[in-house]
Amino acid sequence: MKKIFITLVLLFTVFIAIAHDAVSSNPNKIKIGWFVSPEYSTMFLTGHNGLAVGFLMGIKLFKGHLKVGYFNYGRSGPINRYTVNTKLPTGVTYKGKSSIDLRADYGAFGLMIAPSFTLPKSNVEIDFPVNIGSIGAGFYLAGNDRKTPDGRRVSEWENELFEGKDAAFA
Amino acid sequence: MKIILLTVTIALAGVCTANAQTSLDGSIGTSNQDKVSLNLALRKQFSEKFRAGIELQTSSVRYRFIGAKVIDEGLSTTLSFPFSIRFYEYQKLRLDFYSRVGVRFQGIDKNLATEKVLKDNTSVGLHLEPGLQVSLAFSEKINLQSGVTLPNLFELKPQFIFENNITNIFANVGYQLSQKSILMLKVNAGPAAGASGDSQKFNWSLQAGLRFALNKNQKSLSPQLDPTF
Repeated sequence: MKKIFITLVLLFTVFIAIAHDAVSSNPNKIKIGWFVSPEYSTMFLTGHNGLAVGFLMGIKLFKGHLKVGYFNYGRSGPINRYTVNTKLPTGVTYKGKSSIDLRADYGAFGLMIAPSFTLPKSNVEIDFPVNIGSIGAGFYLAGNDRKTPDGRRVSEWENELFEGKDAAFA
Repeated sequence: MKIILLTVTIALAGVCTANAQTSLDGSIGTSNQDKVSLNLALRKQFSEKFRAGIELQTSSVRYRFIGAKVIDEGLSTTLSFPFSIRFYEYQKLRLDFYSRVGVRFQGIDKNLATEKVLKDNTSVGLHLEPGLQVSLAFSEKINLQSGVTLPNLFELKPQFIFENNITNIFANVGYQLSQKSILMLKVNAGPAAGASGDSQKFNWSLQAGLRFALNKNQKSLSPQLDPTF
């Protein structure tokens, strides 16, 4: 799984570069440009790295010096195997255990505005993106704990164990 | 079922009779959802700007859902109608709006459905997938494509559920083997967000296959490969 993921990251990284270079090499021909940019990102956290997958798309204005568009990112469990063991409230058990293994995920989307500069004598662009939008994040049961003891949906158990506070939106 | 058969027949008739480039795509793949999947697709280049087709995917299930509960065996079949519209083309670069509408059928053994406390051992779902595809003619023989599609899956039967939305980042490589054949390699990956119950949290898939020209007089073959999820 790890090898597959690394291969995918490398493949996509190549394609991202192609998409950007092809557009930015013709600044005089295109007064309003466009961009579609698949992205993989890493967040360096204490004890582990958080990986996210997403994309940007939009238009380039003022000879490519301003990008305005839409962003969408997701940080999901299977590529972020960091698991947190959490104690359940006193008297509450799940499958006979007083603690459960949790993973976290989030999704975000919204408007992206990015001043952009091209390095002299190159096709390398540097963006300073500002994202304004909405984010949803939550915890969920991981691994074998997703197989519920009574055949009910795992979300029903999660809602009960977290008292409905397993996810939030902002 | 009759409506589906009628739709397929009309779509096939349209694809086969239109006087334009026609190709047959065959591929085999694997994913976090399916142990093995087989894809067959007919595609037609109706004009420089518009391409459409019909695609059938049949898979041996690895990790899917019926009624938002996990199934890890059985069969899944999706019949879909992909199409693309060219937005922009400049030299070697091209941007297409890409979309796919499909119907998905899933089924597992009845005993297993009882054991897993499922409402039914079969399900019918709807697949709606808009997206953007960027193509780059890397060389005379190699065409690269990347972009994003947003597959939305809804279970219609045994109960209506919004299953998930995937941010599917894809990368396709087409290598022209001859005037009438292209070797296809496809990679998809991206996070998924679901609603009620259990759902996928991340999807990936790998596929390899061949594209053939079907018309005898056809001198070229469209290099844009469909981002089949």
